[in-house]
Amino acid sequence: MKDSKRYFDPETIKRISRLELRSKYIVEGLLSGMHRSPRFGQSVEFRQHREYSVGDELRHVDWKVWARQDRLYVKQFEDETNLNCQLLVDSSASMNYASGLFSKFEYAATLACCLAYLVLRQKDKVGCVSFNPESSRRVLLGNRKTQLNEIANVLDEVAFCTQTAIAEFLMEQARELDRNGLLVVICDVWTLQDGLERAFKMLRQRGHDVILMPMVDPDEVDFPFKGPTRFEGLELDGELQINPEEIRNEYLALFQQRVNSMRRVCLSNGCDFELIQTSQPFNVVLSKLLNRRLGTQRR
Amino acid sequence: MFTSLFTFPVWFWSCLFFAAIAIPILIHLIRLVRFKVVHWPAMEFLILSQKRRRRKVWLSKFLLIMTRILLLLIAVVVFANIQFDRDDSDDNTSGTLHLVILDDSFSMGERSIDFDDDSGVTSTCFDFAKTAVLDLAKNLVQQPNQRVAIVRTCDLTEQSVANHISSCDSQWLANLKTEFGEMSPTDLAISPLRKLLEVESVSFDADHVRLYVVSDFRNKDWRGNETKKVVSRLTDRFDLTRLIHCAEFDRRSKNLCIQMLKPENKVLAANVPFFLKLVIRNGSDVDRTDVPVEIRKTFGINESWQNSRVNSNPAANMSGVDDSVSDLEIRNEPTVLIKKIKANSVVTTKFPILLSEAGTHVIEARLPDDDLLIDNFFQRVVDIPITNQVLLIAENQSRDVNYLSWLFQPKGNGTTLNTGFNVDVQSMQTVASQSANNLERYRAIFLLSDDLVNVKSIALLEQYVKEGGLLFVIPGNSADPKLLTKHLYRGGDGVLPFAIASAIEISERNEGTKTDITFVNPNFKNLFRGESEKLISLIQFQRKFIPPRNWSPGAGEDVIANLRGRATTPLIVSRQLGFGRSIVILSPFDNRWNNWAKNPTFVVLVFQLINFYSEFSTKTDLAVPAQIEEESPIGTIVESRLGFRRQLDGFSESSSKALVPGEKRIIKLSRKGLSVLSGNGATRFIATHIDDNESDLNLLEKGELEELGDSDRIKLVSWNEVSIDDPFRTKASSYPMLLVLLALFFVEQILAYRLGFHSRKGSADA
Repeated sequence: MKDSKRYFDPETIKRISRLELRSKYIVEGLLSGMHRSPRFGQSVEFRQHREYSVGDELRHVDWKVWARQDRLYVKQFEDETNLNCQLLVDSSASMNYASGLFSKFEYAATLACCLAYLVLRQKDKVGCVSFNPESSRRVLLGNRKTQLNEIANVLDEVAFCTQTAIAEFLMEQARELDRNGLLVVICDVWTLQDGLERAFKMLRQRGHDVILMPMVDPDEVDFPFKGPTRFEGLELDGELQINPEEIRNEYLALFQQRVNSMRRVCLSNGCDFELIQTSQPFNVVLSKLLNRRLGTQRR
Repeated sequence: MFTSLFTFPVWFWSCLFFAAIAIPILIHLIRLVRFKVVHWPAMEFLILSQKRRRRKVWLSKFLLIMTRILLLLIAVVVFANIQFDRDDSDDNTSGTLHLVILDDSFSMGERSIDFDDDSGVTSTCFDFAKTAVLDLAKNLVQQPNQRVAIVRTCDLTEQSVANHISSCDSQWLANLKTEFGEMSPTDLAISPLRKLLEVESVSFDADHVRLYVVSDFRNKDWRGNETKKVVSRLTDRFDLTRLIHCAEFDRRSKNLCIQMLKPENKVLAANVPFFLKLVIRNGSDVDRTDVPVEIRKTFGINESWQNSRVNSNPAANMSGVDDSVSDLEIRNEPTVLIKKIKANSVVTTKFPILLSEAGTHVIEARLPDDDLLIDNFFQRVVDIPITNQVLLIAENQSRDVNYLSWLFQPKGNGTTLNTGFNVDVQSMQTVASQSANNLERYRAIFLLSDDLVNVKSIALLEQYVKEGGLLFVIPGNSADPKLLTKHLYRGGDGVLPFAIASAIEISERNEGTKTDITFVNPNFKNLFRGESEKLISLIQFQRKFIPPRNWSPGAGEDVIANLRGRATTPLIVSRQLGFGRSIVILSPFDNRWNNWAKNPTFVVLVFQLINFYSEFSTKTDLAVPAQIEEESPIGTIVESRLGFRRQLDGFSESSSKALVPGEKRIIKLSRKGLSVLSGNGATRFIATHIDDNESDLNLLEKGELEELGDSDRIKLVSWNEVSIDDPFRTKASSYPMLLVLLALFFVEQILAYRLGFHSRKGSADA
């Protein structure tokens, strides 16, 4: 475990400029830290027992149960399907805020690549979209060897623009995506929420599994500013000169309200919600995410 | 400009004052100008937050700025207060005048047994007062530019308060110590109010004036509103007032005072017993029992001494007095014992005394020592004139004449005793040959003659009475009632109050009747009571003259005594005639009429009658400070050392001037005790007494005094707490301010906390 920590030193990660390398570095470190098989996630997941009926294959009979209870039960397994994972990364200007080593977008891009690498390692398909109202770039679903490189290139060459309407984009995705799959939405916490619930419903109706991962900077969580400060908008034109201490409580309340609102919308529509702080180590975020996903599948 | 800031403190403090207002505002403005820029992703949230908080933030900011301004202002005020206090004490530019009103009335002589020094001398309130003033003085000497005026409340020199002002230096302190070493409370009872009013009327040339009232704060002086009002006004006017109390508030003083010692009646003659009235007052709130009062005659001038030594040579007069003192024979009279004197009450008693010789006598009453010594002794000059002339009018050396002559000038051991009476005996004819003015020198005239046909003599006697004389009419054994009526009654115009009807025989009294004589005049009713009543019962009458049956006393007529008989009839009757009075005794001195002449009560009655009805004046009843007005100057005043303990130093300067004959002269005595005025052939003893109101040692309630001064400008302090640094003011003024300062600091911190940054852990945890 000690050795694995070196994989997650933020400065070390930051020094790896190429996204695909960075993601491999992180994921390999993560997996070695877990002491899990590199074949993690491959099929034959036991689901439940069912009483034997005529016609069932005898190889599925659980002989151990028969030996204990003198009854025939058949073991049933999860059906193995191909996973189609679509990574949707918000590239609005507000994602460009950074108080630490990583801006929100850098963090989001790194995280997206890590996830892509994980999916590709399972031989599943992964695609990526960096979305904003002006210029969205896309990497289609695939599991080619160059898939990770393409995704990294898209995320590297992103052009930031003004505020994003995430709901519209998600609804568009719902209409466009012809295969069910996993949608990982990495967006800004401040992104517009109008119609978000409707978009989630539509995605869920179409059989998509959605994980919403809003990104926040520690500054946005703590609002630690002191003294007279002029705030200039990253997305909106305008400025505000205030003593941050004076409105801190009010701001934090609004922020909390925002996060709670997002979480409620997600959960009420069967979507996963994971608030990501850019100060969190990648391995922690990924572990948490993977553990949650496993738990979700078992439900 | 900056120089003037420190030269003129007002400028300096004004600048600090405005700076205190400006600094928080300036800091606020500077903070608005200097800001950092942050590119923020979620502006609409900030704007929304700012909109929601705008009013509260503005209010909080306003309150914070105001609090900070107030905080600085109060800090400046507190600092200025302390600084000005310091300036008051060591002001190098304007100086401070310290007015010390020192109570030196004799109640300050109250002893405190709790403060005995090593030598066993008991300290008095005045000692404490001196200590307090000296402590103050020592502190003042160490400060630059301080001036002091020590004003004594009983100072009679009429000097203005301004004349008492001195600069505080080491020489002054040395002089003050010397002066205080000899200083003791006066014998005067003058309230501090007098000097306080005087201080109020004076304007002082000083920037800072502090008033110190050093007193025992007795109830009698401070209970009145006027004194409190004056102190209040002075406190408003001056920078500071300190009431320095020198008596212990929780101590129960014990003090008895002799309020009065004087003859019950005017004493006229030696060898006549008389009563001395003694009044003792308990001037404390403790009951006293079994109080012995020592009564003694401390001094008496015999005639030979006075004539030969005092009057002969004024220069030898002084030594004569001194020698007499050493030769004095002090007679210890019986001690009077008073059973009980309740707290704050007065007891009056009387006791008999007999002075065997005429002249001036000094009788002293003395109480046991208590907290206040000065009021424990009282001297009374009892003056028995040595030149009382009495005229007996009789035809020859009759028995009555002999008897009365012996009565006024008794002889013992072959010498005639000096009773103060000189007796002349004249016949009616001799009287007729005199002028009316010649008769005026007689204190009383006794008409014993039966020769009543001499009309001129009778007219002269009537004139003598009308001009204020006292005439005794005692009919002789062979007096004719008709002649008496004709010449002395004269139809109601004469000296007799009624026509004498006849002489009657009186039968022996039966066992049920105690006395023949009954005194009915209230002034003489109690003259023979107790033991002396037995003497009265020995008197028996056989005959007497009687008035007409229908007679009753008219205007100006008075029955002094009645005589038993078939019907009670008057025995001694007086009649007002003009300014004088005639007294008729209706039974001659003859053993065929009565045995009264052999009874000692007769002489007592006669002297009392003379005493009561004869004009007699005395100037011996004087209180300190008494002004003695002499119609004719009698020379210099010398101190009497006869039973008199202290130097007589209270005379005004004018009294020592050489006297100009005919100049009217006023002498002021400010010491209690006995003084002798002598010179130009005359000598007079004068006893001066204290004002016994000052003997009331009850103190004003401490609470009342504290109410008098409950601010930082006026304070009640004990004599051993006096200090120029005056911690009371600094504490009193700074404590509330410091508390306010502290409270404001907390408010400021709370407001700043509300407006400032403080992390809330987990506040934004998802």
